Amino acid sequence: MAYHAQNNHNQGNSVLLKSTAAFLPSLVLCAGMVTSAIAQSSSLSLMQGAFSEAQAVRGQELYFDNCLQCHGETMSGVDQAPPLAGPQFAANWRGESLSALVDRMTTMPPDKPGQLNREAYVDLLTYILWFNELPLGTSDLTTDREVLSAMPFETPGF
Amino acid sequence: MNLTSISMKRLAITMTLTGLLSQTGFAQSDITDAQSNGEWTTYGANLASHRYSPLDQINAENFKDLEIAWRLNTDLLGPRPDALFGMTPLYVNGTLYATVGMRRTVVAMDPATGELLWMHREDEGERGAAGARQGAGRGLSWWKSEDGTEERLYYVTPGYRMIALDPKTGERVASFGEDGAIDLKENFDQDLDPLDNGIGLNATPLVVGDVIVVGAAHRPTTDVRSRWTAKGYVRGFDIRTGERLWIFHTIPLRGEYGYDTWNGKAEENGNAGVWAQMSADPDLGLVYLPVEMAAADYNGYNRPGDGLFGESLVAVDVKTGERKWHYQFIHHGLWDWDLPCAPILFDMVKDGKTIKALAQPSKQAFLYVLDRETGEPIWPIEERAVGQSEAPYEETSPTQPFPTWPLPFDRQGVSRDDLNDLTPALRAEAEQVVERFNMGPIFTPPAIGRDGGPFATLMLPNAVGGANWPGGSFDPVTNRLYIHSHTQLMELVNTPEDMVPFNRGPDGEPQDAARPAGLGRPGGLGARRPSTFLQGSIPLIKPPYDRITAYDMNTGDMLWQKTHGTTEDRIRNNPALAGVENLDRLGSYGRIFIGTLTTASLVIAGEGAVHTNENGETVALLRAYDKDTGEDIEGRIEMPARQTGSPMTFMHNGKQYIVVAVTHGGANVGAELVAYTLP
Repeated sequence: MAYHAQNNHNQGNSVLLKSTAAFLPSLVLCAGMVTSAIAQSSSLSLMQGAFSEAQAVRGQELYFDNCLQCHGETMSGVDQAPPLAGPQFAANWRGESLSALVDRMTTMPPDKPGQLNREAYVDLLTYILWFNELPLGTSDLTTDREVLSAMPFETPGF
Repeated sequence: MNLTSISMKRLAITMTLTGLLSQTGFAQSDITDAQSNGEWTTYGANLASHRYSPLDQINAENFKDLEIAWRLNTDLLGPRPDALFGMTPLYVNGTLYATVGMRRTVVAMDPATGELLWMHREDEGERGAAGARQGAGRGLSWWKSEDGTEERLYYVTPGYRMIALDPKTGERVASFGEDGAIDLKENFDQDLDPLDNGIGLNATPLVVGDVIVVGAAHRPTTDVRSRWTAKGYVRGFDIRTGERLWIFHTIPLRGEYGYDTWNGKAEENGNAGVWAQMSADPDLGLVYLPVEMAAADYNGYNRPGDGLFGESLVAVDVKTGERKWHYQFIHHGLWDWDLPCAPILFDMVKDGKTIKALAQPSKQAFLYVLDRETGEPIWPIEERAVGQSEAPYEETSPTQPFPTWPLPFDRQGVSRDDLNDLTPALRAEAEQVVERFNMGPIFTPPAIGRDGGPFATLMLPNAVGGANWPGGSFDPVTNRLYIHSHTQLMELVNTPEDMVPFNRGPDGEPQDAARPAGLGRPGGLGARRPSTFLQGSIPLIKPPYDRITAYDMNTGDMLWQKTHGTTEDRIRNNPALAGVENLDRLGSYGRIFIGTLTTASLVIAGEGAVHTNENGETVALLRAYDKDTGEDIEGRIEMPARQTGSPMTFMHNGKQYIVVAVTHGGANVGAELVAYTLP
């Protein structure tokens, strides 16, 4: 299938995770791509579009329901809760891996931590990334811990 | 003038300092024995919340020689690190007491070495994790019986229980409550699920004689959905037995004074808790309660009317809880400007008469000065017309109180005059950015969210101040008040044009598809919001970004105002500022909450943000100022991280120490308690 020839290895990875039995032939075709996807994960940058709009929209819904009350509509933080966007947040987290960010998110909210599944936390993360001015890509950000550990958080501009 | 209670020596000192006999507002001697002995026995140093110590071993000459005596990393003293760590410890009977970590574990420490002597840990399971305020909190409280035979420590847990401990052992005092604990969700004049996650507290309870007074904090109520929250009543308990002595309904019950200010909606509204620290005057027998807003923070649709006692200071009888007076500083609030800190109590002389007064700092940067016996303003507070909301469902208050004096300690309102002008290019960019926002003076209500309309209203002070929970400090010898504040732009989000009731019913079920205004629509992300930072990291508004202000409370004059924080790297090193001079100290921009400590000769406070020093290390400075002039005291004392808890000081075995809570933040939290002393 022609799309496997594309350069976005992350797409190949997520296609594999979501593929059904009907795509079994492409499973075999994809196996090699998956290996190289993980091997090349260190070259994947947030600046190149590491998550999809659909994923960020899912994250937005989750944010409204679970996070907005404390972190605010503009992620500037309210009272007890720190900002999730802007230079202060960037200064705190620049260079830390996305995996570390997700780990911190699973401790939230402080009064009922870890209530969402991992996919939901990653979806939430992409909404936060979008809010931090990071560009949209064509496919979802993976939940794979190894891949996320090799992706540092960064924001555009200074 | 009544000279009998004032020593001639103090009078002489005061006269020398102020110079004019007719203007001498000598301070009544409200320095406690504990303070004179170099102890720190309550969160605010005394019940007047002065955060003052008469110690002078550390002074202007030797401040520069301070070195770290010990550091305690508290990250492992709980199930998870506390990234807020806003705690101030106590020093009493030669021991340092602190609360640390996400579980608010109590520790006793050797003040000279930091060695842990004992630890008290309450495992509250699901109830603890469900509390509205996790983490170390502000600290703990201490009580000693009048006959001196008994001493205890008290604190409120994340699960909203109050515990009494033996200071020698850390064991619970069985005779208090049930085996040393009282369940604060009971006896609350409202039904609360024990596992309810809507309520908690991180403030310390206030010990006044044999009464202990406790407030309440709630989960934030940014969206209107959260209207059905618990009510934040205040209670006084018998300090020995834990029996409830009284309750004050901050949202009045039917028949109580103030009920009619809710237009029949008092029952269905919540919050209005006292999450701030409190002050008390034992001579007058009064406790002063700084009350927060009712829910929700930016929308008053469900609470038409002034809503007493939201955003009010209330004086109640410490023994009965009976209201003596109140003053509401904001009517029908829409800006999340809760009263955040304890009022500072002090005496002053005005028109030849001694007045027992108080000064209430606020998020909105007003310092409200009242007679603490009567609640009457010392200088006139005027009701002035303010902006009205366009939303037909929002009954904005037509006026708000404006103190005519003293002058506010931080910037209020946003206009083009506030735009960053460090370079012409930045100014031009700022002019473009503000086109997409609404601006206005203080008390401008939220704008209506419309396609093509402003993204939000730019607001100063921020919903988190101005000033906030640390409050200020006070020098009772010269009657000077010191307050830190920060200047941080806020986007006051738009309000919907058509208010569909965003309500959940009392059973918590949503009554409609609730959506906040101003952001994306269901199924779409919406347009990218314009950033309020220029070139990625430079604030849209001009500096300074944080400051310490000194007032002479004899007259209300502002004596000095100093920019506090070193400029952070992300501003300093932005290429857009290349070649611009005088960038070293623009103040710290962002959510910082800084408390000041006043000693015999110094005002001391750490910076709320870090910067990189010449050696490439990330540091924040512990700064000291001359109390009279505000000049920097010589010395560069580098802390390993930014200040997050307000500093305190004490004398132990002949040595003076300053102890402050600092936090690194980010992935490795690093919440540390750091002690400084002279070599």
